[in-house]
Amino acid sequence: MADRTILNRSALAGLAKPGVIGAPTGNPGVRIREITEFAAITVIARRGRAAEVVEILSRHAGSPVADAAKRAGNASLSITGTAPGQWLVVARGAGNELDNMRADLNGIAAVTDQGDGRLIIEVCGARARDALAKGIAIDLDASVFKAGDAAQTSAAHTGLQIALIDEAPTFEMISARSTAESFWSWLVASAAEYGIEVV
Amino acid sequence: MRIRCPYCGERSNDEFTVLGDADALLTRPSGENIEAFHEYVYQRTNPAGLHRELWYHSAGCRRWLVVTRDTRTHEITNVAFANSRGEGATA
Amino acid sequence: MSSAGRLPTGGLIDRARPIQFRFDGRSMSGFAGDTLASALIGNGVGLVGRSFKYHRPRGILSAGSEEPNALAELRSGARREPNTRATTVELFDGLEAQSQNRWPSLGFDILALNGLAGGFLSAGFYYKTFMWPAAFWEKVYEPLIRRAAGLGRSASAEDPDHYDKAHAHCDILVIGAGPAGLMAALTAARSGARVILADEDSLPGGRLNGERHEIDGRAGSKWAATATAELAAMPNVRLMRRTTIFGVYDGGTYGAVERVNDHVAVPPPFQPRQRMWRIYARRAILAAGALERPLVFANNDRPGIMLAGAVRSYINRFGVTPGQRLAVFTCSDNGWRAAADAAAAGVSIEAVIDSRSDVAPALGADLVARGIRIFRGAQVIRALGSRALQAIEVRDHTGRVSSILCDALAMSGGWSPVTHLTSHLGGRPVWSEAHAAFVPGTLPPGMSVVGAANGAMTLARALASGRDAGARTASDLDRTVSDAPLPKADDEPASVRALWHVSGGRGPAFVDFQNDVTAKDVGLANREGYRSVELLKRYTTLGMATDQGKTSNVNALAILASERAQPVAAVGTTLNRPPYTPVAIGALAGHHRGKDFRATRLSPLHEWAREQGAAFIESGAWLRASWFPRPGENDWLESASREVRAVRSAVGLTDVSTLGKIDIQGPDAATLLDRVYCNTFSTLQVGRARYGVMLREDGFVMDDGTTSRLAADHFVMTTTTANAVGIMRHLEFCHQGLWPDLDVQMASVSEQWAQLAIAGPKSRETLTRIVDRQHDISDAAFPYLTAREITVLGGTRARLFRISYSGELAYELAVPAGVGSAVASAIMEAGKDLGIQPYGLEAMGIMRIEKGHVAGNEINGQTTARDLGLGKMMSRKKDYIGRVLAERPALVTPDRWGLVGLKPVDWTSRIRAGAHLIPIGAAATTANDLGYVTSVAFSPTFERWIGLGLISGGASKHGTRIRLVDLLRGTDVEAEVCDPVFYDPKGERLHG
Repeated sequence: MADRTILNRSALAGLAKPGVIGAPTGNPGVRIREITEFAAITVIARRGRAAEVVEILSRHAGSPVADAAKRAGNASLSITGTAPGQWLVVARGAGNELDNMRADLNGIAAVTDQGDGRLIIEVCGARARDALAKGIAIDLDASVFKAGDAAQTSAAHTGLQIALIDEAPTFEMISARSTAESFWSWLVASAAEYGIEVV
Repeated sequence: MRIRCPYCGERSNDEFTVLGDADALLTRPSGENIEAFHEYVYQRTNPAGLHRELWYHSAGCRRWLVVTRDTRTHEITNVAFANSRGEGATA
Repeated sequence: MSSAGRLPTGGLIDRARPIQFRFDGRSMSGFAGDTLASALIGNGVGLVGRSFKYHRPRGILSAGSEEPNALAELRSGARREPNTRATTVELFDGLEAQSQNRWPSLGFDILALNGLAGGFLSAGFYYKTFMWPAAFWEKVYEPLIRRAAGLGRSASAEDPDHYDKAHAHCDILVIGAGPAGLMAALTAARSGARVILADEDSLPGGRLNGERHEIDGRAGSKWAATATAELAAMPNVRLMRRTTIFGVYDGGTYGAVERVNDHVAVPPPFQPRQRMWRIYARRAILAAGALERPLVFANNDRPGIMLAGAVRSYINRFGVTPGQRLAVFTCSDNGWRAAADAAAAGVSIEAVIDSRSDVAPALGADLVARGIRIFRGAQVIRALGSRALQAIEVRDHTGRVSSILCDALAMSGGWSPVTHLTSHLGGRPVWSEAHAAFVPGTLPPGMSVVGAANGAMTLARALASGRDAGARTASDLDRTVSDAPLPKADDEPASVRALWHVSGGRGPAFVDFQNDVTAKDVGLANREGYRSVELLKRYTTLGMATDQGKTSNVNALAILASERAQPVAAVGTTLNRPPYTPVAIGALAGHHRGKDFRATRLSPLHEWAREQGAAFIESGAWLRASWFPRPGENDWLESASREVRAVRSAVGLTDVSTLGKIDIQGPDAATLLDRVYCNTFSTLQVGRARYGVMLREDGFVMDDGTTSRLAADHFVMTTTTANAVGIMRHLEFCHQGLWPDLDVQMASVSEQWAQLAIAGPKSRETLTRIVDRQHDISDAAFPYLTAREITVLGGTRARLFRISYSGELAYELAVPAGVGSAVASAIMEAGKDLGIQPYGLEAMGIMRIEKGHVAGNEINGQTTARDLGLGKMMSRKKDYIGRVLAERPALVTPDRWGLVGLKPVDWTSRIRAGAHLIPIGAAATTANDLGYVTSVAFSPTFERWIGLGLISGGASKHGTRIRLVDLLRGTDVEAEVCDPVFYDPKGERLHG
């Protein structure tokens, strides 16, 4: 059979349509964006090899990666600690750089594809913290949760990885594909009173 | 109840799943003695006071933790990873 | 109509903003800043409800959340809300309020006859009266009692408003914004600490708004407003008005409910009505104040009789008076100030009656000067009047009784610190004779108590205790506290000598107004042996109404103590539990109701299944395709039967993405699998799949599934849908807890892969059309139980497993979730001319029963591998979880219930799951019970009902007959016991 293009649906395909939702404030308090083009892998260090993995990941990120709940990296590649000796690596776009990383980690860490199973949403705006506090129990206050901080927790009965990308504040939330619709329903309900712009 | 996970920090107990007595559960017998396994699976003490318990951080880092808790007050005096037999890291 | 009404001047209300509302259909007006209660008083309404049991006329007792009497229904239709306290309801334009618990009208209540039959309804009447005959309970007594004892009507339509839940964190949570709380919050916040100040009122200030004390030479209410403004301007402070901290939980967690939009008719668009907060605080300062106690004398519940502090609040804060001729009955200095405040507002004071004979002469000197009658060492023994107070009978210090005409009575039985929140973690308040009240005992970790809540009953002491606690707590958290002068205020006289019960008056003397418990009931309970406070409470229902006995508990305990001739300290107190005031279920649910009750999981093939017209069913958290109706089909069975026939004769496609999938890597991956499965996986060759069974350590089966070896150090495991999360947790326990030395890495990939089953004799032919040419999937190259990574549709990565659940030649194809629906559509297209059909859960269920595969009905936690016919999988060459205990004598006896097939002897009979297996000729009793039917299906293949079951003796019963008895559904069918594999017992088809 001839090659053909296969439609790749993002987790929120058809739901996160650009536009304004909720209270018509004129100046939406929350902006939401679904990241649709990305690849992701989990990296789990083999027994006793975490330090080597940290070194390799840091080299690829171009900045120090910690074996801790922190997010490092740049605009196209982020590396976030999810458990001792474990990281989630997200490459925005086609994700070709993950191939080199995979090769470098061969025999040192277990690498597992995860990009299709994830929903990635960026939330920013003046009322982002108020909206997120409606489901997220950890302290997101600017004095506590700073740029580069990350956490594994839950929101709206769904597992969630959250990180602060910048002090705008811009939050990155990574959740499961199967619960994307429920998660979206919670997020929109929580942010609606502040006005939402989906970009 | 708030549990200070050594990796994730302090979280509410609804992020965790409890299993029970850590010292009992982490000491799986070897061999084929039914009595020994009977003790391992079923026999538990129920102390009023400090108790070392296994908690799984299911909504967080998915580490099994040994949580030392006072069963009378819910005060938690130590939390450590189960893979080090609960040694180390304090709450 | 009483002579209550609006005062010409005064109060903190905004007289420039009138507000229209309706009460029991009557139009009335009030002002911004009023509560429903103050507006009713302002409109001369004294009678606002009927009591719970005796339907006695009741007025407004208090001015706060402790109110037991003035309960009202608010709004109408879907927004109708019962049991709101008129004393806390903020007035808004268009408010509709209804009195409760009266029939047919508030003024004339037929059931008030209960009051005349008061003896019949005394303590414990439920237990004494309605015991016999039993049948009467349901048909006669209960409806009667329900009608008589109502507490308002909830709305019958779905609540149209939405509710939020939110989380907040702080260094210091200050509970209560009275003088002590404001001072504590100011001191702590000025140090830079993160402070949350929560107060249940809309207007911070607490008693400062209801009294006339001065701070720094100006009105206390003005000082409170200034302090509030300072706090509101600080970025490190979250000021939460209309927010009740209702519960204290472990680890510095506090429950709060914020009434965001209860003070408007309809919440603005996108705003919640209420918001439930979980507040995580490193420290808490409780400044909840104190509640005034009623005095217990005959007919003390008549409308017009009010707590003295409430009278002051209505006059000073709301500019209304409960009457024109006021009397005061007190056992504390505090009551005198009600008289002074009322006199200052121009209300006539008829008398001040103090039960103490040694009252400080200075107290009330100005009242004496004005010729007001003062009684010392005297008591009010009875109130007169029915729907409104008309007079009181006073017994003076000589014992002489005289009547005094009055239309309002302010009573003060002393003040009880609000210790409720100190008890939520088990702390027991302690009796203080000096305060004639319970004061906080053991406190929750991190909490301190200030102001009246801690027995600091005067303003100057309240401010000082707030300042001290604020400073101490902030320093504890390493904040630097600056020295600021303490605002100046006076220590007003506040002595009290408790007066628990006035005897000698004719008529019931109420202790618990909301549940209609009298002093006599307390005495009766004691005489009948219910002497402990816990028993007293349950026998009399004292303190068990929606107000949780806020105004009644201490009086009741003291009366019980007196009956027992013991000090109150010896009688003790019951402990308060959350919530401090009632919390709406809607607030507890927040966003999570209806379809958002919990997160719904959608398969990556959901879009495809929807396009195929699937009927979905909830299966755990998943929404799964159950069957695919086609035109002309009347029910699910027709559709599912067609789907089964398609699979058995041609090819079908179904979604198995919901199975748990776990990626297991590392040099020791095979070792771990050997230890968690009862069969062996280290011998599995790369590129092969194997069915595995896991046991629990107690020897029973935990789960089953297929695990494939993709490389020497790389496996992918599947689990059942239901156990996916639990198995991951179990594997992590085995690795981290039992064998941390194993070099194994595990990651859940359940979300990553869409998994499709392609089953049927034409499945290979279908697949060949989408698998990329370089991958040979012929029977020779890709035999049964092969597992390999391939590509499909021109380079899409995939994993192909030749495994079968249906019993046919079948494959499972895993593709990245994002392309799942597209690949499914491509397969449908590829198999179109071969007759491919989508099939759902029902067809899958039918085929697995035809094939004798066990599922959740059989792997039910009570069956062993041997019971399920899987005993030969249990390895004897290695250790594994469950191996030892599976050999316990009771788990290996020949009469254990083992898996068999069941088919009705009359082939047209229907059989039902759950039916019990009873020997022919024996009675259907537990003693004769030999097992039960676990699963049934109508088999389109055999055109009859077939079933699986567990029967004592298992396979040894093949060929015998048994009855399937279902007493619940009234069926009794004779069946033949057979091998559970009905279809293709030799397994030839899956090798095809």
